[in-house]
Amino acid sequence: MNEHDFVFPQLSAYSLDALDPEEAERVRLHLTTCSICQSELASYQRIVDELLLAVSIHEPPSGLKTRLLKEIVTPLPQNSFTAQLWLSLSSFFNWIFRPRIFRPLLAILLLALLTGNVLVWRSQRATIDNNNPQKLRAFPLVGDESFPTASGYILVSSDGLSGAVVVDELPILAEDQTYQLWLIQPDQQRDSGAIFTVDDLGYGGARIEPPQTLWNYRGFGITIEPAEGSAAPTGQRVLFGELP
Amino acid sequence: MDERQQKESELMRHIVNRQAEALGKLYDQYGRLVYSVALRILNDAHQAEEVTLDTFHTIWQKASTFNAQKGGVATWITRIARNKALDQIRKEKVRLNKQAVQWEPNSQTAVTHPSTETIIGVKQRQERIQAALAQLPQEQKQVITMAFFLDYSQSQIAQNLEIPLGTVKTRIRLGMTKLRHLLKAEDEKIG
Repeated sequence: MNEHDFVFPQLSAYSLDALDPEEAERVRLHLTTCSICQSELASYQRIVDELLLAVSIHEPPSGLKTRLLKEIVTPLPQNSFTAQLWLSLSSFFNWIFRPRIFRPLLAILLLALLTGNVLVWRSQRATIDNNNPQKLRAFPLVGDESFPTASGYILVSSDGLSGAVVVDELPILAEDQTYQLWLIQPDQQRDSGAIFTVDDLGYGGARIEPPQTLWNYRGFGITIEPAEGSAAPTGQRVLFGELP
Repeated sequence: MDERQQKESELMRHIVNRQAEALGKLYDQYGRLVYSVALRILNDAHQAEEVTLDTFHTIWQKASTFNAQKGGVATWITRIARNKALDQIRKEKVRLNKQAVQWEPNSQTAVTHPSTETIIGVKQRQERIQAALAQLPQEQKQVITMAFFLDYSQSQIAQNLEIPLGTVKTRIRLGMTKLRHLLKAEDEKIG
């Protein structure tokens, strides 16, 4: 059986993310070169998009919209400790500066703080520029079709020997899984660049340890792999990007 | 791009420009759908509520990534909601039991306050996919539901239902092929 004959019947399950990781990777690789399978998959993906509309419609709680709009206008810090700290500080400053007499004092204090911060920032920036003449460059990563809001960046040092990956809005993985960054060579061979997980908000990152300068690669991909990592991509791709 | 898509794109542009009113309008149009998708996956009203909020927060922050060329707003939003609900399942290792795995009749689908043409467009699509699903044999619907709403792989479905893996593969393939055929026939009838 050739690769096309294996992949073609798997495409409906692939569109539902129902293949096991090894099968999914085999399908993904074949899709990069087979226009027949690409077209077949697109026809199934249209169905998958429609399936979500088939749910029974339920009314959300009546106050949910008000809560949403309140939260986006005045977002609270995410975790409970910082939320409490924020509320405590707000109450404290409200109490301190309630009398009108303190308002000019507050304005002077804020102005002094702002001026001080600008001076400190300029001084630190000059120091950094002097000590690190090499500049980092950042390259965006975009989410695969199934992860439309996922995003990330690859940071590359000027000599390409150091780098970092930062991601956001990726799904939280099971304990026996990890994210693995792949560095894609011009001949499509992949080198492992980093292994990492994400926190409860889908945010995470890692330092890249490339076997050669990152400027020798043509792109990046991030896949879901077993916890210990893989020698080559075997799981679903979540993010990708190109290196110009 | 038709008039409905133009209106949707305009609404998204307002959200990109941080107009809270536009997000409120989007919520009016899709809040129920997002909540229903989350509730369908999580089977827990409180969690569905949180996923709904989280989904609209993401829309607020990432509206600039919406690409009308890749599909409509409804598709984009429901994908986000599904991913977030599945994340919740993975995080808490919650799995629904197999008795819960079915596409329940959609008696409440009728939208009571169709505020815009967008809702009407979605309602037509809902009716179309529900009619197609109703024609699938129960065993095909069951495996597609388990894969799609519960994030099961084919192997996990086989294990859970105690049937051969080959049977699961066949049911998914036949079910999806039939759905494609039925939806295509509907499209031809409409257009």
